[in-house]
Formats: sequence, structure tokens, C-alpha cells
Amino acid sequence: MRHDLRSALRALGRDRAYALVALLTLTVGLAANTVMFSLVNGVILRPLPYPAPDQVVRVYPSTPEDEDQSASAPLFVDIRERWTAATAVAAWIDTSYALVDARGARAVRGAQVSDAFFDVFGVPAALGRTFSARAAETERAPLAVISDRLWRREFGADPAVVGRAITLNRTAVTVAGVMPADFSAVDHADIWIRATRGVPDPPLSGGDELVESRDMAYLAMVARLAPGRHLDTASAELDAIANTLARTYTEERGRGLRAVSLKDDLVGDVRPALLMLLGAVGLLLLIACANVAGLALARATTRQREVAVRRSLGASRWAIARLLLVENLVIALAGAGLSVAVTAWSLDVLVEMSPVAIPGAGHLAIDWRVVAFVAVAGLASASLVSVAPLATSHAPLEQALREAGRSTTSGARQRLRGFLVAGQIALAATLLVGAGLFIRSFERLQSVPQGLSADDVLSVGVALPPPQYAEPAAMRSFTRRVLDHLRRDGRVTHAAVAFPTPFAPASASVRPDVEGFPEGQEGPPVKLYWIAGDYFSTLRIPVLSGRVFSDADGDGAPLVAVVSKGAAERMWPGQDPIGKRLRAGGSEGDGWMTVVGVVGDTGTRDWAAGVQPAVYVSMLQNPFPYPGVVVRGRTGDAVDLTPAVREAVATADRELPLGDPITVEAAAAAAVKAPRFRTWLLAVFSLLASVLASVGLYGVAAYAVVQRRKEFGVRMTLGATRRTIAALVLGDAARLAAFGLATGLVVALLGASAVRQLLFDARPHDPVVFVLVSLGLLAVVLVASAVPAWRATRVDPATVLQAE
Amino acid sequence: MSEAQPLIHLDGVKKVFLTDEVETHALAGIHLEIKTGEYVAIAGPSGCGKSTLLSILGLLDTPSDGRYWLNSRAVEQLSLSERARTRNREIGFIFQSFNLIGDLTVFENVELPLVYRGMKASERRTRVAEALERVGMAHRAKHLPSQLSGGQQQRVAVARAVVGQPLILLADEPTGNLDSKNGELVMDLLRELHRGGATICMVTHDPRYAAHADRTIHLFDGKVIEDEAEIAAMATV
Repeated sequence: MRHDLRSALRALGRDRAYALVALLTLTVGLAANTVMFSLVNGVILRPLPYPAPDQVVRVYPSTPEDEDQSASAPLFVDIRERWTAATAVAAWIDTSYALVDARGARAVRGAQVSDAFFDVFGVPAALGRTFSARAAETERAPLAVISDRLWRREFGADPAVVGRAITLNRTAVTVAGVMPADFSAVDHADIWIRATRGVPDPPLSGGDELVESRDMAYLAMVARLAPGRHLDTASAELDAIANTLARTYTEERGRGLRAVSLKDDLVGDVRPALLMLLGAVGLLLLIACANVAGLALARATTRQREVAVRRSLGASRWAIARLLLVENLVIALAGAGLSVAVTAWSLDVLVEMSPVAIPGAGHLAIDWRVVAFVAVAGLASASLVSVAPLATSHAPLEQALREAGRSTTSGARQRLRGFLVAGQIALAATLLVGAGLFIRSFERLQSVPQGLSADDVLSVGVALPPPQYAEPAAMRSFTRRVLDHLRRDGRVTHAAVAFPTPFAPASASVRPDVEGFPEGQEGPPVKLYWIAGDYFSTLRIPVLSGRVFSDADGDGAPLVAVVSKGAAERMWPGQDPIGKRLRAGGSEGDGWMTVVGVVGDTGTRDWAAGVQPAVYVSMLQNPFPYPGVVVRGRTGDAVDLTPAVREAVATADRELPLGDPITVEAAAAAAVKAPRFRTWLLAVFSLLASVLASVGLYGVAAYAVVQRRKEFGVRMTLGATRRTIAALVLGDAARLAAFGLATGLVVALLGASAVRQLLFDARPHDPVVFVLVSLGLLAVVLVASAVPAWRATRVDPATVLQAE
Repeated sequence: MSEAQPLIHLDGVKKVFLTDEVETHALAGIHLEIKTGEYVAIAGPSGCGKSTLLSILGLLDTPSDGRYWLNSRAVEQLSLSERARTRNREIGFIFQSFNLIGDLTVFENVELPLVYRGMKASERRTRVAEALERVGMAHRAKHLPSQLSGGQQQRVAVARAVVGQPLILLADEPTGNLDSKNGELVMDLLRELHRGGATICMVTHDPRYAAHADRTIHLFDGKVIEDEAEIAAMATV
């Protein structure tokens, strides 16, 4: 073996061009596979970083229209007390906190969680302690557990932070512990605050009344199943609980309860896309192997004499095979090593780009699974690459020695190389069709009308902390002061305050009470927006009839609402909606609001759904604690408006931190991050595949021209013109390409249905894609074979024939 | 064609190769005439310029200096495609190493010049069948060259050379790769063609085969040192 290795290294050293091209080609294939496998490993294969992770489940109230609803506090308490299959059930609500110290106020992503939150995940604190439902708590003092990231960023990794009181939302909260660096819960919070009343507070002020309401659904739930309990039996128990509750409470009628493993909940949507991409890079690796196999075949031809001499000296076929295999192993394993390096470098970039947000995704790493994968892929590649030259090296020794000195290649080798190239083109065509389908799908997705103009608009989230802003008047005052300041700011042309801001992840959906509907019949589901200021003109949403809110629509004025066209058509089909009345979440007084205007429908974070019916309520009449600021400036970078927003908020409350400013354009782009990510990756992979296939074709065509110089000379002697010779070379390449292309298109046609669920407005057999891919690949083939064809026409018959 | 006009007329043809700043004079002023129906052998030692001369005669190469008329037409200024057309219609080549195309059958090899001529398939079939019949290889029409002996391959090459009914056959050491028996058979075939009216110009270094020709031109260092036709003419005078 050592002898083989030494011989292989020497042979590769002699033939550096081959070694380098083969190494680069295989590295492209292996690196793409290693990167994708790392993602699949981190997202799908690697268990969640909790003890017994399969026992951790998400729990959703569900209706046939909406499977993943939030829970009200009473529903959460019912589940917590009745569900015996779970050892711990917890609820939380995402919240932004203002962390205030001598350095000023900073916004911190956090969550208010119920007592059993850490019991569900079962991960102990790295420093200090967490809190637990099981612990006998004699007092319900505010307690916080912080993330390792926050501990390092805000407290300089000071262990003494444990037990210290910090100021959050102007309230003193004691830090109970610091979680390990690799801990990440479903909420991606940096701070977890124990709910002082055992159940997280609702986002709206209203105290016990709202907490006790079954209509106020705002909680996310997670649970840990008891050891030995399976999801199906636990789900059956949940069904029974839901039936009991439906019989007891009218609000729970028509609503079921659904448990899903946390892993499936997190990666369910992204699993098919990742597996599809892994399949795509598998094809890419096959193309790379076919490419190198083609090179190895050409090299085998030029090494006939060496092989013949070795065989004449007594080398067995296995010894010759081993020599070839070891050479290719050296290349493949070097490629595998480079792939690991490329993967290590690119993982951070991919994690940044990836739309997948799962616990531990930030710690994607090259673990033993990745190393084992790349090793197996490298070995398989070396074997695949070696098969072709080995299969054609069984010529009788006498013939091998006789042919060794000639410059001709065996027909079998040339045919095999042609077959390999056709295979590469077929695989590339399959990948290109896939990429084309995704690009077209993404184009259609992007062209879904969203009903507003995102250009030059900035949005900044603001959270009003409860103690100071518990009263509606305080929230109302804040909103007015911010708007007043922004309206006087010369940098801003339009300003508004809104929740949710355009394309934000958060949203509110309600079924409003509609005056005139039969008793007990809710209105159609609509999106609910709390707005103030020039919301519609800021986002250029057309006002279709009536009027929009004015500053006069404030406290004490009659309650008013604006509805979108779609909402109006659903609630009052064929009628003028102006003057109609409805009641939706959190409106004050008796809650009935009069519709004063109709505006165009707009889209949400759920981009693919397009525009959706909406009801707008005035934030001055119905104050809301998350008044996101939305401003439009004069043409330029909307981010430049950040100081204007900062100053306006500081004028209203100097200690209030701002969330991350984001342009509405960026928020819109984030809404299509997942399809863009897979489209981008597939496009890159198919581009690489096309490059590899065209390089392979070029190699075969160029090599064939060298081998056929004499034939071209003869043909020219017999009267062939340069054009005839060029047509001969191009025709051969075109035949290979046509065969490969036809095969690839058929495979793509059959396989396209498999990706139907990943396509928007699915058209898996989109003829435009198939035609464009065919023309594109034929153009690539033409370019790849143009140089060899040109060289063929330069053959000087007198020279090549005299050389004979 | 008039008897007065030679089929091939070379006037002071020179060929100089430049390699690494060294000038090699392969042909140093060749004056030559070949008339229709002649059977000419060009003889001489290796490196004397025989093959270079044949390449120029076959329009595979161009002279560095001098004039060349083929069938009364000056060929120096012909474009590449005109040269290809002339080769196809007016010249037939027979090579030492046969130069049959391995991937094509015997029939397809012989058919090739007619394909380049743009002849209709039905006419090609007839012509190819006649040519193969003429060289006694009709029964091997569907075989690949690798399935034939050297002598058979050269007979196929002869069929390919004559199928287009060229004005002249250029044969470059046609027996060089054959044993003496097969060599004699090929020479008999050429003789037979000549008797049928073919004009043949054959390069050979073997005096035995040169003797088959009516006229032998001896080359040495790129010059004609002896032309038996001229000697005969002088003797007649």
C-alpha cells in the first residue's frame, strides 16, 4: 500500500495539470455536498439541544382555518392542570424589554414565561439557577434568567451578575441565572422573565380582566411529555380536554388542541427544501465525478505504455487497479479535506442567509456526522472516478503494448467519455430545470401585489413598558408626542405609528363582531392594525372612499375604524361600508366603531397570501403598547431617517430604547427569505453543474480533436472544407448534448412533480423553463465545442499526413 | 483537354521551411510537366522532397515560390475552399498508411469524396459500388477497416481515390506498408487503372515499383536530377 501511495503521489506530481483539475472539480462537488449536509445535519439530523428532546412538544389551539393559534390564559391554565401526559406545560409571550443602566437604555429581546418554562427544556443554568414550577416559591418576586450572549454583551461575563437586581422596563428584576452558550429556546430571547402572576401578562393593558378572558389569545405554549408517553396518546388526551372545554365554554367551541413535536414544528416547513437541495448537490457531485472520470479515461489512454510495461513485468490487474484507485483516492480525500475547510468558512454565511430559525442553528458545526459524510462521499467519488478507466483497461497485453506507441484512442474509451459527458449534460439539465422552476416561482411570488409602496420607508419597533405606560393616557401621549416631533422634522415627509409595522413577523388576526350579523356569528377573519398619523399616505395605500383617521379621532371622540376593500366586501357585500359598525380586539367603551373610510388591501409577512382583508383602528382611541414608528423620507436611503426617529422617541421618553431600524423594503425581502434562499442555492448549484458539464464537454471535444487530427487531415484531402470539419466537431458535440439534454429533460419532467409543494403557484412543467434550459444548454454546448472545432479547422493535412 | 496543354505544369517551384530560424529548402526550383494519361513515378532517397512535392501537387501545401498550373489553371491564388473543391473533384489520393477512417465502413469511406461533392445518394451508391467492384472489394462493403488486411485496406483506399473520377491520382508510397505480395497486387491495380486511362503520379523510394511507371523523375536535395521523359525526348532528337 505504501508503494502504491508513493507511486500515486509521483504519478500525480508528474501530471500536475490532471491532479489540479481533478482536485478542483471534485472539491466543487464535495464542498457543495458537505455544506448542504452540514445544514441538513444541523437542522434535521442533530437532535435539539435538550435532554430527551423528542418529549418536547408545541401545543396549539386549532381550528380548521388556522391550525396554529395562540392560547388564552384560561385555556393555558386548563391544559396545564388537566393534561396528565405532560410533566410540564409552559406558556410565554415575546416581549421587548428596556434594559436601563448607567450606559443608558437598550432594547433586549425577551420573553415573559410561565414557571415551568425551564422544566420543559430541562437545561440547567450554567451559572446560578433557573426557575421551576416544582420549586416551592414563597414569593413571586420578579426573576430573570439571561442568555450567555446577553451576559457577555451587557455584563462583561461577570459571574457576580447572578443575584444582582437589574432594571428592566423601569422595574428591578433579580438575575437568577445565566444559561449555557448553546442554549436556545424557541423564542430566541436573550432574557426570560418569570411571570409574576404565574401566567404571562397580555400585551394590552386591562389587568385581570384580560388575563381571565378566553377571547384574549396571546400565549405560545410548549410542553414536556412524561417519560414513555408518545405523541399520539398524548394528543388523544389533548383531544379529550378540548372536547370537555368545548362543552363547558362557548368560546372554546369549534376549537381543538394540537400537539406537534418541537423538532417537526421548527423544521417541518424547511425539511423538504433542504432535502431537495441535498439531492441537487448529490447530482452536482455525480457531474463532478463523471467529469473527472472523463479526464481519467483520457489519461489512461496516454498511460497505456506505462500500464502495458507494468503488466509485462508481472503486475496483476488488481495491482494496476489499485494504482489507479489510490491515485483517485489521494485526489478525492484531498478534495474532502478542502471541502471541510470550505464548509467551515461558509457555514456562518449560510446560517446568516438561512431562513431556518431553530435552536442550535447558530452553533452549526462540523461534527462527526459531517466528517463521516465527507469521508464516505470522498471514497465513493474515488471509486466512481476509477470505474471508467478500469472498465476499459482489459485489452490483451500484446494489443496494449502494440497500441501503446500510437496516438489513437480506443473506441470504447471515446464512447465511454461521450457517455459520461452526455450524463453530465443530462444531470445539469435536470438541475437547471429545477433552478428555472424555482426562479420562475420566485418571480411570480415577488410579483404578488402587496398593495403598498415600500420604497424609502423606515420602520422602527418601540415597546412601551407596563409600569409607566400601563394607562392608556400615557401610551396616547407618547404616540402624539412622537408624531408631533416627526411632523416638524424636515427629513421626514410622512410619519405614522403602527402595530404591526409592514411585513413585521408579528401580526394580529381577529374575527370582528359585525353589527347586523346574527347573534353568535362572528365576522370573517381579518388582519387588525392599530395606527396613528399618516399611515396610509406613508405607505401610499390608496384611500378608496370616505376618510382616514385624523388627530381629532382621539380620546373622547366617537370610535371609528377604517376597513380595507376586501374586508368591506366580506362584511357588507354589495353595501356601502361607510357608517357600518364593528367591534374588534381591545376597543374601548362598548367597543362599537363606525367605519369612516375604505382603503386598498395590503399584504403581510405571509407574502404568498397576497393582500388580505384588514381593519384599522386608531391607536389614539385604542392605545397599544408596541407603537412601531413608520416614516417616509425624501428620496434616499431610508435608513438615514433613523436619527430622526431616535430624536422623536427621545423627545417623548429619553429612557425608551429603540428596536432595530429596518426599511420596509428589507422587511418585505425578509418575508420571502426562505424561497429566495432555496432559489439562490439551487441556482448556484445548477450554474456550477453547467460549468462542470461544459468543461467536461470541452475536454471531450478537445481531446477528440487531438485524437482525430489525422482523420481530419484525410477528410480535408478528400475535399472537406473547414466549414465541413467544424460542422463535424460541432455535430458530434451537439449529438452528445442532444442525447444528454433529452434525457435530462425527461428526468426533470418526471421529477418536477416532486418539488411541486415548494413552488409558488406551482407550474412544475412550465414550458418556458424547459425551452430556456434547452436553448441555454445548447448555447453552452456550442461555446464549449467552438474552440475545439476551430482547432480542428486549423489542422494542416500535409503536416499530419506526412507525420504518419 | 488539348494535347499541347499538360495536366500539371510546375515552373520553378520552391518550398522553404522555416524552423527555429533555420531555412530548409525542401524544393529548390522544380520544373515539371505531367500530361494526361501519363504514369509518373517520383523517386529519390528519404528527405529528398518527394512528399513535399506530392503535397504541393495535391494542393495540400503551397509553394514558397514558382508557379503551378493544374489543368491549365494557376492554383497559387485559390482560396481554401476552392482548393478543397479542386482536391475533391480533380485529385485522388492514395496514402502509404491507407488513411481509411476507422469509424466508417468500407462503403462509407469510399463514398466520402462524393458526399463532400454534394452528390445525390442514389448516384453515390452506384458510383461506390462500381469503384469497389473495380478493386475487388464489393463483398466487404459493410466491413470496418479494422476488419480488413493491409492489402485490402489499400484496395479500398484506391477505390476511394478513383470513385470521384479525378483528373489525376497521387499515390504516396502506396506499397510502403504492405508486404511484397500485397505490394505487387496494388501495383497491378494501379497499372490496370492507368491502362483504363488514369493519370497517375506515384512517389516511391523503391526502384522496383518505380519501374512500373512509364516515366520516373529522380529527386535529390529538392531538385530534379533526372527525368526519364526528358532523356527520352533528347534521345529522340
